[in-house]
Amino acid sequence: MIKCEIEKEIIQLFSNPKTKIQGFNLFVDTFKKILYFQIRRILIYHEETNDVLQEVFVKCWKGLNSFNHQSKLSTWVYRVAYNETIQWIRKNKKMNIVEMDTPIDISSNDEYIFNKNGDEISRLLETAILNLPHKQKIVFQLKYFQNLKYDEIQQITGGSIGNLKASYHHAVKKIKQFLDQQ
Amino acid sequence: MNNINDILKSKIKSEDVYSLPADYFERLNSQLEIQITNQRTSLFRFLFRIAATILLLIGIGVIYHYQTAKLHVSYLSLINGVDEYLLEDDELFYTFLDDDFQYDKQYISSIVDDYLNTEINFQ
Repeated sequence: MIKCEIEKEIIQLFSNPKTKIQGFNLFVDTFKKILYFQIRRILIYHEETNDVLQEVFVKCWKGLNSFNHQSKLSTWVYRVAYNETIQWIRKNKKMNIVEMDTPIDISSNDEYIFNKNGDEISRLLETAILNLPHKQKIVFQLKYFQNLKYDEIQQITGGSIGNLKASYHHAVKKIKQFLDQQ
Repeated sequence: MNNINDILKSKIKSEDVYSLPADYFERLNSQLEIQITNQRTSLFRFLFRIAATILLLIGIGVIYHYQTAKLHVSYLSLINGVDEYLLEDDELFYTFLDDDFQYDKQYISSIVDDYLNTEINFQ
């Protein structure tokens, strides 16, 4: 989880024209890994992830001044990343991952996705996550890796809290099933 | 796999398994700075073009206004101006004409020419 102090510091630095670049660099350092893997788990490949991630940061650069503090900065950033990712998927309809509820068949041995030196259990867990339908995948990672509460996830993805809980429950069940089969 | 629940509970840092270019995250900041600088430059260019267009339109408007602006001359001042012009132009003519009628009105023009030639050597 991103600490409130860091969020305040980012906003403070960014709001001053003299320290704006410094604030943005702190912003990128704070969020780059979290956002990269949030997007990567949906788009699967690095090139697409990199394009969307850079677009997300450019949008944040433009929009950070108008951030209205109605939510946490991290929640706002995750929402920007989520929206950009969904928008990218819609634009690239030729891809097989367009449908939000269609599971994907990813192998844990795919060299374009995983490196050879990675830990076996970690690779299996990530493979299980990648094979989830998008909605469940997004809810799972926001809850599991980013430790967000359901009301925060609701601010990012929309939908009712009941549906989000159901999505998370189904995701955990499918991951367990996948790991059980290995 | 018996320890599935343990795997999920432990929240292992599983991101390391993804293949991505070496030093990707280290280079990301500088790549973004370049993108942002380009954004700022293009924004400045856009604003400059708008300002230049506005100035051009104002310039065209000003030139058009001065070219088509009407002279505001009252009827009275116009009459006075015409009279003044005529008086100046025909001053010599009237000078000789009013000089006790000593000159013949038919030859007054040649008299005026003679006067100019002899008195002030006006050619």
